[in-house]
Amino acid sequence: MPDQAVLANEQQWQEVLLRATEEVMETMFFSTVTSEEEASADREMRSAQLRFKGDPSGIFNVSVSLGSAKQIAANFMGADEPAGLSETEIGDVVGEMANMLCGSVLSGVRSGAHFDLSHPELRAGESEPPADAIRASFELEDGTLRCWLAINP
Amino acid sequence: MAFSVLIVDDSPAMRSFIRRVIDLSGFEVDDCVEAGDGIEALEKLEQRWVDIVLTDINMPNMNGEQLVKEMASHEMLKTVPVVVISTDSTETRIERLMSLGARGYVKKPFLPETLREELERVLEVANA
Repeated sequence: MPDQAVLANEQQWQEVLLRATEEVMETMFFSTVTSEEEASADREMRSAQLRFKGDPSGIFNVSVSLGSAKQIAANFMGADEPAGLSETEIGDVVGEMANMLCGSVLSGVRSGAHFDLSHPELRAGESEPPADAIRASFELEDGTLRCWLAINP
Repeated sequence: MAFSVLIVDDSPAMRSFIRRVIDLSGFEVDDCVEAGDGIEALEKLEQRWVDIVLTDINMPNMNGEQLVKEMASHEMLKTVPVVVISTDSTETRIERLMSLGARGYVKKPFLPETLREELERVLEVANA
């Protein structure tokens, strides 16, 4: 069952998700993101999902357009051209992005609380969020970034 | 003065990023070695001396906490300062790592100057 106290603060989670994504993407991935009501999914997406355990526990998911994932990976790794990056390198960066975003969101909402994060699981395509997931969509220069967080799913 | 650095992280992309951020920050490095986990880090440290170690926490085989512990109990390696880089910045986690022997902590996400300042602070204390 979803934690009612947590759900009561859904707006807080939403705000932190938006703020944490902007901060992490700009600081670590040199990418500017613009919040969107509902960014459209691209045909080709790359996703990374991880579980967090603590108070509360849940799932965090990031999906990003393949074109954006390549550019983000190039920015992160200092590569001149995204075309030269392998699928493994792109996946590695999307996994790191999920890990940092999840850590930032959790520390933003539950400052001081300890969470164990699982290793990000990578997948092609986009994972459908549970109905009560907290979501945020962003427009990137050449695609979209969508995050969702489900508490005690 | 330039320093030798060992970067320990299971993500090659993160190792590459940290290396680049160190360069961007203006922190002078003359030798940079990488390892994918704590075991590989200890192997590298047996082969060559470094001035400072930067490590992640969550890694397979031997995590960052175990690496800090192993280094602290080693006659030679206990003098090499370790800075932990992680998304987990809770007070209890930082206190635990410091009590095990870590000398510094940088929370992800971080700015290049934040990393440089922490490296300089830790090295200054270590060389005082």
